Amino acid sequence: MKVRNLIILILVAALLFAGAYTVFVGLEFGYKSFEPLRALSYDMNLGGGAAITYKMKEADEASIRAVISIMETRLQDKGILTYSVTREGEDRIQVNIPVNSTSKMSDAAQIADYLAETGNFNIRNTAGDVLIERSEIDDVFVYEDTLGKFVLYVSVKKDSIAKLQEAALEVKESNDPYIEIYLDDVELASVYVTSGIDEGTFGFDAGYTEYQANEAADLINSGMYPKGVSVFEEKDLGPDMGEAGSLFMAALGAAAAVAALYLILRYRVPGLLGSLSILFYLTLTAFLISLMRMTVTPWAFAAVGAGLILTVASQICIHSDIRKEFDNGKNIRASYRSGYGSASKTVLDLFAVLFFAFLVFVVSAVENITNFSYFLGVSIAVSYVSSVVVNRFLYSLVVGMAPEKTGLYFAARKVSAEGSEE
Amino acid sequence: MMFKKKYVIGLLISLIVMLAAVGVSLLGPMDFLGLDFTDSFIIKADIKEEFDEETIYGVLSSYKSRTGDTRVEKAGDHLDQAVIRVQHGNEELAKEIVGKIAEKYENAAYRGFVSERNYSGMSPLLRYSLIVLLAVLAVCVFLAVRQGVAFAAGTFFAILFGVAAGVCLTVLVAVPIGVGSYMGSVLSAFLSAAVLLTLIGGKMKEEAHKGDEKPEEPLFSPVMKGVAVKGGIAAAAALVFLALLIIFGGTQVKAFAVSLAAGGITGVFSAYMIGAPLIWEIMEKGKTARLKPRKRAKAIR
Repeated sequence: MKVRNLIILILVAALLFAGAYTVFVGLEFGYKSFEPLRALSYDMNLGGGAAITYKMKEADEASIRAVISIMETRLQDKGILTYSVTREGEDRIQVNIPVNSTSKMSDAAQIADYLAETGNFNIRNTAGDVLIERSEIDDVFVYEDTLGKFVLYVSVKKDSIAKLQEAALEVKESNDPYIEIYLDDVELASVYVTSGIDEGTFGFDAGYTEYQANEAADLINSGMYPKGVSVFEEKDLGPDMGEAGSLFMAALGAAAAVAALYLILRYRVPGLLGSLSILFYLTLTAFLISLMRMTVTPWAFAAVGAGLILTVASQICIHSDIRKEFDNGKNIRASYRSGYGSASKTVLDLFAVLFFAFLVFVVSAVENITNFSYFLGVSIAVSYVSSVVVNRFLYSLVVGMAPEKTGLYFAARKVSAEGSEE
Repeated sequence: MMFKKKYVIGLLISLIVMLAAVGVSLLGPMDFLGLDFTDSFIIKADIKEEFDEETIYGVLSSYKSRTGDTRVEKAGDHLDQAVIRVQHGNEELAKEIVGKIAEKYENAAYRGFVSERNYSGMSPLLRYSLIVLLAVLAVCVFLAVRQGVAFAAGTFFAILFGVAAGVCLTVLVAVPIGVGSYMGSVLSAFLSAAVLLTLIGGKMKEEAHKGDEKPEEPLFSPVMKGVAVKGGIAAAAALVFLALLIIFGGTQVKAFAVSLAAGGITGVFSAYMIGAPLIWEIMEKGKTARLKPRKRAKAIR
C-alpha cells in the first residue's frame, strides 16, 4: 500500500511537471510542434491592432453618432469586443480593432470593408422601383434548406406586411414576375414570384456560404448608415502597454513561486503538495485559455491572479487547519480527516463568494467586465479543482503512506501566550 | 482594549483618503477623470525611425499640467509614427511637444492635430459601478444566508468603503481615472475585501460555535492574527505580482498595476478596520441574528 501510494505520487508529480513543461515551453516532434502558449491571442493593449479611419460624406453630429453606434454593433456581431470607435475631427471616424499577429482574425482590410458597407438593403421590381426599404425590414436570419443551401429569410415589420403582400401580388401578376434584392446597390438575388406572401416573411438564395450568409444577415440587421462612409486610412497600431504579455506571465509565475516556497518552508510535505496544486492551477488555466482561444487582456491576467490568490488562500486554510489538529497531538491521518473537514467549509465559502461575483459579471456582459468574468470563471473552476480535488488526492496518497517522522509534515512553531499561531 | 466603535477609526481614515483625493483633483494640475471618459485631442507625429513610447512619455511628463492625461501609441506600417492623445491642448502646444520629441528623435516631424470626441462620456463609469454594486449585493446575500445578517452588513459597508477609498487612493498616487484604473481599483478592493471577510466570518463563526456567548473581538485578537497570517501570505503573492509589473512595466502597465495595488490595499484595510469591527459591534449589540439558530443549537449540543 505504502509503496503503491509512493509510486502513484511520483507518477502524478512527474505528470504535472511534464504537463507544465509542455504548456509553458512546448514540444517539438520533427516538423510538428505543440506550443499551447503560441495560440494565445492578445487584445489591443497587449498585441496592438489596426487603426482604420473612415471619412463620412456630409457629416453632421447626429449621423456620425448613428454610424458609430452601427459600427459598434457590427464589431460585436463579429465577436470583436475589445475595440474603440471614436469621432476624429469633423468628418472622420477612427476604429481601432485588435487584429494582430496573435488574433483569430488576421485580415483587417476585410473588416475595414465590412464596416464601410452602408447596409442599404431593399427589394425592387425589375423596373427598379423600390418596393420595400431597409426601414421596413424587421429581421433577417439564415436558414439551411434541405439542399444544404444557406437561405436568407427576411421578415418585414408588422406595419409593412400588407405593403409587401400587395407588392408581391402585383409582381406575380405582371409580365416580369421577379423581385430583385439589393444590398448597397449590388443585386444579391432575383426571385421568381410564383405565389403571394401569406405572412410577412420570405426567403431567397444568394448563393452564399454559411459565413457569407451570416455576415450579410448581421450587416442588414445592424442597421443602415444615414450617410455613406469610405475608408480614408488604414494602418497598424502598436500595443498600448507595449508587448507586456510575457511580463504579466512572468509576474504571475514569480508570485506563484513565492507562495509555493512559503508553503514548502512552513508546511514541509503538505506544503509541497500545495505547491504541486498551484503548479496544476497555472498549467491547466494556461492550457484552457489557449485551447478556448480567449482574447487575453490585462484583465485576463488580473483574473488569473485572483484565481492564484484564491488557490494560495485555500491551501493555507487547509494546511493550517490540519496543522492545528496535528499540534493538538493527533497523528497525520486523524489530523487530515478532521482538519480537512473544517477547512473545506471556509474554502467552499471562499469559492462561493467569488462564484456569485462571477455570475453577476457574466450576466452584466459589459466590455472589459465580460472579459474579466470569463477568465475569472475559468480561474475559479480550475482553482477549485486544484485546491480541493487535486490537493485532496495528493494528500490522501501521503496520508496513506503516513510515515511517522513528524518533522516531514510541519515546521516547528512557537505558540504565543494566547495560543495563537505565529 | 476597548473595541467599541473601532470601525469608526477605519471609516475616518477612509474618509480622509477620499477627501484628500477630491482636494488633489480639484486643486492639482491633474484631472480626476482620464482620457477614457473625456474628449481629447490627437497629436500625430512622424518619428521616421523605431522609437520607445517611454521616451515620448518622458517628454510629455513636463507638459502634464497643460495636457492632463496622456496616452502614446505607435502607428503606421513600420510603427514609426506616434499617435499622442492628450486631454487638453491646441495646435501650438502640439507643435511644441513634437519639437521636444525631435530633440530625442531628430527626424521627428509634426503631422497633424485633431480633436477626438468621446460619446460614451461618463456612462461606462456608471455602468461598471452599477454592475459591481450588484455583485457586492449578491455576495452579501450569500453571506447573509451562510453566516448571518451581521456578516453581510459588515461586509457590505467594508466593501463600499474599500472600493471608494481604492479609487481615491489611485487618484492620490497620480493615476488618472480611466476605464482600466477605475475597474482595477474597484475590482481589486471588492474581491480582496470579500475574500478576507469570508475568512474572518468563517473564523468568527467557528469561535461562536465553540460555545462562547460572543466571538473573540476582532483586530489584534489571536483569531484575527491567524486570519491575518493566511490573508497576508495570499496578499504577499499578489504584491510580488504587482511589484514586478510596477518595476518592469511601461507607463500604462504601471498605472494598471498601481490601481490594482491601491484597490487591494484599501480592500484589505476595510476588511480589517471597518468590516470586522462592525460585524463584532452588530453582533455584540445583538441587533441582528448572530448565527443561524439551527446551527448554533447544533453547535451548543
